[in-house]
Amino acid sequence: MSLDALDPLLAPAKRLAALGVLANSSHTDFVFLRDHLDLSDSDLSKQMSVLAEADYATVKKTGRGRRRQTWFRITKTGRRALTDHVAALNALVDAAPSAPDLVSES
Amino acid sequence: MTTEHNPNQRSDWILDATTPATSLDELRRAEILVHTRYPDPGPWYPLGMATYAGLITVAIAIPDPYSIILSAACICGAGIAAMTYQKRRGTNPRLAPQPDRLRREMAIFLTGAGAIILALVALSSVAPLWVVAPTAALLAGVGTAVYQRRYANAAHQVEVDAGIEPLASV
Repeated sequence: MSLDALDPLLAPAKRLAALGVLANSSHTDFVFLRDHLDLSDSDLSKQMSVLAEADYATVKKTGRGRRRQTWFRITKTGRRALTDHVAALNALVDAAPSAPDLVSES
Repeated sequence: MTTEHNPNQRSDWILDATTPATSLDELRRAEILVHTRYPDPGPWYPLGMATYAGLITVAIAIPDPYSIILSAACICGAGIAAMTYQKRRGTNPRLAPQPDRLRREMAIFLTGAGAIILALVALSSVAPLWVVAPTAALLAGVGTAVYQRRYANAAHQVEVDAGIEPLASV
């Protein structure tokens, strides 16, 4: 397994986690992601913009004023990218030498 | 249009990336939180379910057109309540990837609800409406309260098992 199988867009762990939340829900709003991924408003906005631009997620705004909510939904492209990326990460973890192996090599 | 290979491009994102194991761990926790974090509806949930069960029992038993009107009102009310709660929760979890422990609680609840409905149908053939409707309300309220507590405990345990620090209020 090479690093080429990894998706550069999903390299940041928080962005990957955000897409994981979307994959486990029909739709999720900005506040839920911000509060449970422990991200600032600006950081989450940046991460979600990247996912939306890559067509990994769609954005929908509902309500007005204080009741305004921003909802995200994973796309088929996003779901496929997540599946492939997780498979590549798992392969890397499986292929990584364990600590005793590294000690014996040195 | 051709794109030139930029040897620095990959190293840019690798600098941002965490280790595969850390990324997978963070992903796993995030996926669990979708199912385990929700605003506690408190006593309103069993009370609402009790009222709903009582009213829907009455709606089925009374003659038309009152039956249709009350049934429609019950269905609309339940729909509005579900939508309002979902907005407040901020997410709508998919059931398929739900942790096993939570799925088991939901299966027990649905099986119990089915058994109660069958028992109420049997009761309705021998007892009047003023007995069946309060019984439906009582069973729905108690059943929902038990489910609510069991689900909260299961969600708490799922988080503990995943190494997530559970909310103090749970």
